[in-house]
Amino acid sequence: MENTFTLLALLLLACGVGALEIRGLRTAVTAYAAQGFFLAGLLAVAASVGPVHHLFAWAVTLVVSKGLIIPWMMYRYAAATSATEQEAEPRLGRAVTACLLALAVWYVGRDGMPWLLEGVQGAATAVPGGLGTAAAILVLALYGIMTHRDTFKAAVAVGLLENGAHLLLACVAYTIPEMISIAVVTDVILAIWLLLLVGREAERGTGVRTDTALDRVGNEEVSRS
Amino acid sequence: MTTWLPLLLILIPALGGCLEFLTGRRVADSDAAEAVYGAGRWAVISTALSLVLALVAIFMLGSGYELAWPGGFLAADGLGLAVATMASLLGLIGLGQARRHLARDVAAGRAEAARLPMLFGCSALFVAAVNWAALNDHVILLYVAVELTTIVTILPVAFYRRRTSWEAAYKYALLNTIGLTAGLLGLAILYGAAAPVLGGQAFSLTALAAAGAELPSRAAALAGALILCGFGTKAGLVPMHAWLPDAYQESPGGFIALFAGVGTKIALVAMARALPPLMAAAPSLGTALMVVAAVSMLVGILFAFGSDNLLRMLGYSSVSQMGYIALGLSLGTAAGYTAAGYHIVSHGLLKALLFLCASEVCQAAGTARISALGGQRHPRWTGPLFLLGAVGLGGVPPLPAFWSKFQIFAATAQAGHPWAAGVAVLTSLLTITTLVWAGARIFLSHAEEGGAHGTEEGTASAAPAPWLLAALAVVVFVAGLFPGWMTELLGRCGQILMAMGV
Repeated sequence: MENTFTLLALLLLACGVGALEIRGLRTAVTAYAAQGFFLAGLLAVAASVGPVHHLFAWAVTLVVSKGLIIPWMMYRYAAATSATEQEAEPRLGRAVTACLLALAVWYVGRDGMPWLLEGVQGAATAVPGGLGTAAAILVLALYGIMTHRDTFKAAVAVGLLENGAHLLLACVAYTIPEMISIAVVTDVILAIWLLLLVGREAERGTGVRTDTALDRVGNEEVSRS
Repeated sequence: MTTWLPLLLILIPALGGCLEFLTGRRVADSDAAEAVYGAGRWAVISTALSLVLALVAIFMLGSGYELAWPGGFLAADGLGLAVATMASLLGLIGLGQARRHLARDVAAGRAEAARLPMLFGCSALFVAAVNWAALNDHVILLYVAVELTTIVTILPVAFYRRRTSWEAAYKYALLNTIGLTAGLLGLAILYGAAAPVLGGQAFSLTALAAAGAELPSRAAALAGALILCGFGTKAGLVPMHAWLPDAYQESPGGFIALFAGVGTKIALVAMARALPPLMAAAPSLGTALMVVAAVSMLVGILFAFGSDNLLRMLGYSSVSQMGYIALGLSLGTAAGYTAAGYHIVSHGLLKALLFLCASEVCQAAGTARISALGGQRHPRWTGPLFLLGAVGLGGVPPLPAFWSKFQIFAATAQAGHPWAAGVAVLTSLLTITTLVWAGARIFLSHAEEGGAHGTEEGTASAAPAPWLLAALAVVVFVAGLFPGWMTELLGRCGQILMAMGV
């Protein structure tokens, strides 16, 4: 069973790297959606073999929100971005770097995170290996936010960040009622929708789709006013 | 009544916001003039009702009633009710002012009438979300409520649809979403760390405070660091403050009073709820927060001093003032919490007054540049009221910031951190210099012969008396003239937090 958890963790990281480093926006969204399904799969396996059967409900919430609703919104906004359907050139965009970073954090986090969170409910037991995987996804997402300039890709990276947060939540706060988890996910869906919306409207209003160009536009206008 | 009151404080403004969206859309489709006339009514009525309920709740709390929703989801204490009252008051005054302000913008073609229902609806929802966050007693729902205060203010920041509006809204949405996700992780770890100690009660913030030193120290330090980064971003603490001046500069007049008055404070209220048990388990968190607070105070006011844009200057000044509140929280003493709570109220009122005056002046002159505003004719009363806000925020007695800052200085010195008290005093001197100097350049420099006299609409806007500004000035005076009552209300909360945290 440990191999199953390891395989699912590696698939989650591969999907995260794909969502960040694939330049085609729709394919990147597909990788993001796949991560949502694998994440739900990880929680479902943990619920079936471990003591926390409550995680089945979390898996269903994840499939609906991270596997279906958010990717659907992203597809719609990807279709509405400028003609190329390719993300703007990132500051630093090497899939190998992202892969190595994710694997390094995952490897260290497998033992390091349970040590850091010693004494925390379910930290090492609720989802075997979950803390290390969550840490790797969180670091990967932050790396993506810092290295990618495309506003659409930033929204995808924020989606990854929320996936990592959800996994960590499932590891240490799995006893919270399902309604609370749904309230958290609703906030996440709204936040990502607004990021996509504002990014698209910013592109329409300014003609640019990168955070650096948006900054430049802002600074020019401020110095003029 | 005691169980329903906290819930009504959330539901009524939320209902007002929804009605604003529903009825406003129909009116906006009909005619621009009618849309402007009808806009904001539900939002103003619901925030007025919310204000009445908040005052009743304060009275009942003072009379010894316990105001809590069964099940541990909501609990009203002095700090929560003070923030809810301030949110409702600033909602009422700010939205009343926004109706006048935006009517002129629509008439001048700077804003679309069809977007007014969105602005007023989001504003009422913002009041509801702030009330929820302030009265919330559930550790995970605290994130949901604070995130909601961000979600409902993203589109109002982009209200004018200028190039800079989109940039500001994007930066605001991105940074706050990332930051608050860190806050969620911190709260989740806090909950997980307390669960073995408290069992089923670990979700209640009131119960969590009692866990204190029993929490595992490494997990507490990690949770505290995440909460500091997360809610610190929302609060605009340095170095996570980049969104704040941009968002304040782009926010519509009137709405900015509400947004600047309580938007950042609610994150500090969240920190005040979550940090005491964590600081008891990991005392180094207090030092980290104190350093962040000192850097925020100094960097914020230095940036404000160097800014020639009035609205950005006030934004940077807010960054600096958030440092004072964070300093009070970092002390980990009842006196520090009480002083921080008092400064949340005094800064909220004074900054709202300053922003209301500034937005009137900038709209009338058509620019926000301080160097260009001098020598122009400005709307009546804005000069004296701006200067009142400036000296008030600088800490001149008997205005409320004098008492709150004095309490922060005293609590910091008592806790054995004279360097931090010194930074706070220096920042206070720089604040009064920056704000009064800006006010003098704008309002006290004489118009040159044949020089600028403001735009036509600016002259027109000088005609009606800004009685809403005057009403806010009266509230500012009242908050300063009765410091004992305010300290008692907030002090009980501070003592409870500390007694349980330690």
